[in-house]
Amino acid sequence: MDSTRRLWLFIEFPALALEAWFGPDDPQRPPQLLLAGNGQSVLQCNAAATALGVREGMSTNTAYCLLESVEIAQYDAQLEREQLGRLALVLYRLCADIRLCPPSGMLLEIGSMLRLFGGLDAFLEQLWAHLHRSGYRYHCATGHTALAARLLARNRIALFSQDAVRIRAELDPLPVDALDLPIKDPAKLTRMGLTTYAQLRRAPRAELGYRFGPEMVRHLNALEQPDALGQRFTLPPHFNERLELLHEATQADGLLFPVKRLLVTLEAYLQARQQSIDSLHLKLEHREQPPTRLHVQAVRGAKTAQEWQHLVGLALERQPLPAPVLAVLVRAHRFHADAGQAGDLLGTAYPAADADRLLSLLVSRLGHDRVRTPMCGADPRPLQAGRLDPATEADRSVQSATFSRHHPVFLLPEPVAVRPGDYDWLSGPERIAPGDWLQPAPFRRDYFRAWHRQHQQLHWLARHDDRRWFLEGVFS
Amino acid sequence: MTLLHELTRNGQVWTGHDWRRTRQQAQPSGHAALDTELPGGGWPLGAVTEILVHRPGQGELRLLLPALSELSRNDSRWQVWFNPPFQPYGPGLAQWGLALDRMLVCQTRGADDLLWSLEQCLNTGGSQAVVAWVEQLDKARMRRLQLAAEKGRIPVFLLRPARFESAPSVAALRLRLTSPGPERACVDILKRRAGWPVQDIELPLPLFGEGAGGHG
Repeated sequence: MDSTRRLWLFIEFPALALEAWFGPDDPQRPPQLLLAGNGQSVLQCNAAATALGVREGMSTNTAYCLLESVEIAQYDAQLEREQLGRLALVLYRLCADIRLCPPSGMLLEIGSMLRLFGGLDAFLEQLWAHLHRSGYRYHCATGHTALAARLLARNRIALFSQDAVRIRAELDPLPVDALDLPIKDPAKLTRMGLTTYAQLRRAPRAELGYRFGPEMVRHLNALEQPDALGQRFTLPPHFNERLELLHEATQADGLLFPVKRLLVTLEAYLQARQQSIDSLHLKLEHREQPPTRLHVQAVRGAKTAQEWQHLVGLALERQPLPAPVLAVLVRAHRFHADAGQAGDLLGTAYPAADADRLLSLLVSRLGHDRVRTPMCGADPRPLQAGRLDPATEADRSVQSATFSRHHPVFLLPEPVAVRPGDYDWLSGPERIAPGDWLQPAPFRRDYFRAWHRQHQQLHWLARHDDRRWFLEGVFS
Repeated sequence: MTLLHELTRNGQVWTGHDWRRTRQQAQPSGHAALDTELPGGGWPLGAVTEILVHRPGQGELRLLLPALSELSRNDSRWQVWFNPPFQPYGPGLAQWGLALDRMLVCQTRGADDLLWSLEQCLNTGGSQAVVAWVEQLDKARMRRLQLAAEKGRIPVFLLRPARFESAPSVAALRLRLTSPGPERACVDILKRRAGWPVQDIELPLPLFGEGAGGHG
């Protein structure tokens, strides 16, 4: 087979707008309707509504007569388009050339992918697994041209073949009004005796062009000659997804489930880019209050939705919600290449990965500024040299060489004034007096080690220039 | 081999007169006089050790630091300190040979946070040793801690005020530390596996470690 031969696969999501609003359908759902913009007719409905006799295109009033309880939503083109992009993201792992055909279709050029997957059947198996996992209803079909694939999918003819003759054979019996022809009145064709695609295909093209315009000819040509449709899907440079909640969430628990939906999309996005992120920004929008912002960190990157969900859960636990949440926004940038984890010799233990996971968990639960690493800087002033930096930001390369100076292991965050009379002196003084360039106010201290008789502690005392004594550290 | 043999060998059961023969994994404490009294010859790995002091800062770190710095240099995972009473001072710790880049110092907001964090340290396998300054401890959760430490084979050191001496504890090893002088310590073993309590172990407690280059 010619490896460069193109094969198109069209996927039509018949209830995309409905499912984008309510989430993928499941059997426990009550009847749900999506109304057209004017609210007069049913645009899409879920399985529960169909079972009770509602049909697409039915007037809203008739539908209400059939249903006892129902959830309704208005058609939202923006939401539908965003969801189509998300589905493209999921399929991006399987196919590099995806074209979006709004409002609810998507075209995949799979001819060039078949060699990679080892044949059409193997490819389709993967594709169906991904689509099934997404939970969205779909119809798909292949075609030797993009338009042929679209027609087959829209007419729900599930044909999967690379054979152009077979594809044409399936198209031939289609009635003219099912061909998406760019003419106002397909009945005009019927009146001319052209009722099926087979007849139309054989009719003289120039004559048809004369009667129905050049668009018609182009459409018919596109069914026979390769031509692409739609706009090619490219990965957005950042991950930025927003989700309107169906119900206000007053507790962190109620947020976790919707957030999971966003995280699954994030996982697909990261897989498509083969990158990972180490931090995630969440914005929780309220009705009146300014939004609550959360920053979730994973050390050295986490990729799966499950890992992120756990970390987000911990962060939400820590964050009291000031008001009910109406929408959630998840944003990620600063991607980095996805490095493999170093295991031990046998590949059974991953100490580095375990350590990273532990740090991520601690940071998520306790907060970024409560998990710190002691630094060992070169500054002569003790409090500056021995800062504690947040562990996720600490620049571990600046740890200077082991100090030869004899300093205690504990410092007091603020020096405390003490009376020298309580102490037995052990050693000192050690003078620390850096140059004026380091800080404007002169810093000159004499340090002593002294035993506090009553507390039975060994203290590190500083005598200031004005002869006052301060407790600065403890030799614990 | 009988079951009893097996249990004795693993240090689960011991007899009064031959406890020194039981095997327990331990990290030498760096204090010779103490090591001879500790089962396994050092701080138990995979168990909770409780050290009681009258006032924080009475030498409990100098007691632990030789072992902690040894652990930190030989293991790439985290050494986690919870709620130290003062701010750990990097240059001072580095002087003991502690690998600072493997250290985490955590402040928790309450007992729940602390216990959760301790359990995570032990269960994820991401830590090499845990040191926590604690006060009140729920007995049931402390038992969970002990089991998690055993499973993860990670030493856990709990530093508590001496007023909890009479409170029941599931720690495998309990010590009381007093500091009679600047570079001296006196340790009472209140509870240990495979042995009776011991009083008044006198130890020299040097102010400074031998540093990273000293050994190991």
